[in-house]
Amino acid sequence: MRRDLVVELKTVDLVRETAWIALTEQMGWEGTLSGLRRYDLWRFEGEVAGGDADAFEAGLASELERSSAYYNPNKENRRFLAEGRLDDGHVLVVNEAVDAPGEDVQGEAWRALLWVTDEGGDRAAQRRRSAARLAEGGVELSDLRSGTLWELMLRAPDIDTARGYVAGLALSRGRHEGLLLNPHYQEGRLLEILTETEASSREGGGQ
Amino acid sequence: MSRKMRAAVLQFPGVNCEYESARALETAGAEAEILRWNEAPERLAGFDLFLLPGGFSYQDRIRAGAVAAKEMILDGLHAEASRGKPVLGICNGAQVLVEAGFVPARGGEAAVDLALAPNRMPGREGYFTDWCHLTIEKAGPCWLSDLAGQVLPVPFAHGEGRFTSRREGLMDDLAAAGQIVLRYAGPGGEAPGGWPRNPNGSALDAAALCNEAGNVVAMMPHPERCAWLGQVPEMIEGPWGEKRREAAGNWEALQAAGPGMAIFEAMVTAASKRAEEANHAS
Repeated sequence: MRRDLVVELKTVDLVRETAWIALTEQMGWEGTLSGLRRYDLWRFEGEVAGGDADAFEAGLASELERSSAYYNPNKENRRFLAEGRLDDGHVLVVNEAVDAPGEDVQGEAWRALLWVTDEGGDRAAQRRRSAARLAEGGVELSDLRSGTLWELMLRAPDIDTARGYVAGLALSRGRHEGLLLNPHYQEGRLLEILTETEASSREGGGQ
Repeated sequence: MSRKMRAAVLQFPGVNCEYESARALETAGAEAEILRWNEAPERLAGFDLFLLPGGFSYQDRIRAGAVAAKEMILDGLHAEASRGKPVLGICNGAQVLVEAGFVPARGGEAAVDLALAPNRMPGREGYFTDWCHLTIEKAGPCWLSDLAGQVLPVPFAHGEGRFTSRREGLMDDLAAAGQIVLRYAGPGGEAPGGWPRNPNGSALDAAALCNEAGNVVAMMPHPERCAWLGQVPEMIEGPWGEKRREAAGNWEALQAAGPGMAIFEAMVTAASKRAEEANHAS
């Protein structure tokens, strides 16, 4: 089973601010990109005796209290996403089709979730450290990955264009193109792209 | 009498090696000015050579070098580099050049074909600092080629220094084209045989790459931190260590050129040669 942990700063996120300024003031995405947020996303995979998903999450929650590796409660909020809330997503490749910023910013509002990891985001050393403690509670942790989750709010006429915009502002290809990931060692997974109406109703359905 | 070459050391927010880099260029014979990142790109036209120093531009936010690579001043730098003026990026400066696509710039196109990825080291991760030995390759048109065959001890200090590419065969092609200009080595110039002599797992032991034209160089180790003999530790292996031990306690001898100075001198010489050629052409 899988649980995704989303961690967000309680205070102003200076990395997000820097990305926003670079994208909108220097790279031409003002208007097309209407909002940007940044989180850490940890993806836990494993099993628990009896296959009880609640027990799996409870075991992980207990580990979060014992380890300082995942989040700092003094400065960050965290929440688990429900099972199946995010899948593996579409991996952006070096030669991905991209779109430059659009001139018509009156299109529909979209929300995309892009997970950027370094070379797959495998956190084997951290997994080994947590696995021993989790095993005491009957949780077997088989895989642990982490990376930066970018939430992008966009204006685009249709979903294909919105996807092209996400690739265009993410994949770094030159000094005017792409910022959020270097495709020569990082991976970008487009985990979700929805209209804002769809995204809001999904949020209401329970994250 | 030939004029002094004018060097611009580009200061992005968060870099921390601009003063020693400027001093090394001055000692190598140039007139160096530290130029802030928010100057008009056109101002760069008045300079003969450019240095992007080490440090942490924009606090390495998003990715080392990624934000500085989007600054407008890079448009001016691209214009001057296209005219053949020497450009050297050291450590964070190298990361900026790679993220801006100045290196390797195959076919003259400034595209991001590489990354300086997190170090890959057995049993550890993150930042790593120590001294390494570099061999200078006989590398096509690069201004470092006149130093080919030398072995230089140089310090390094980085968390993301591993040259890599997902373009199949690119690193081999760059080696064949003479664009790998510095490689990690043992003290006698022999192949490093992996970590720690290759401190970050860089492909083909690459410590510095140049663009196709050879005038833009992105290097990870810090020559400005060994530009004077007194900066070299006595315990370093090889002839530079011997020189350093002989100079121990002798203030004047310790002010002699260190191994890194050769790189700054070669750069200033290349700028001077290019300026003369440009004068003749006009």
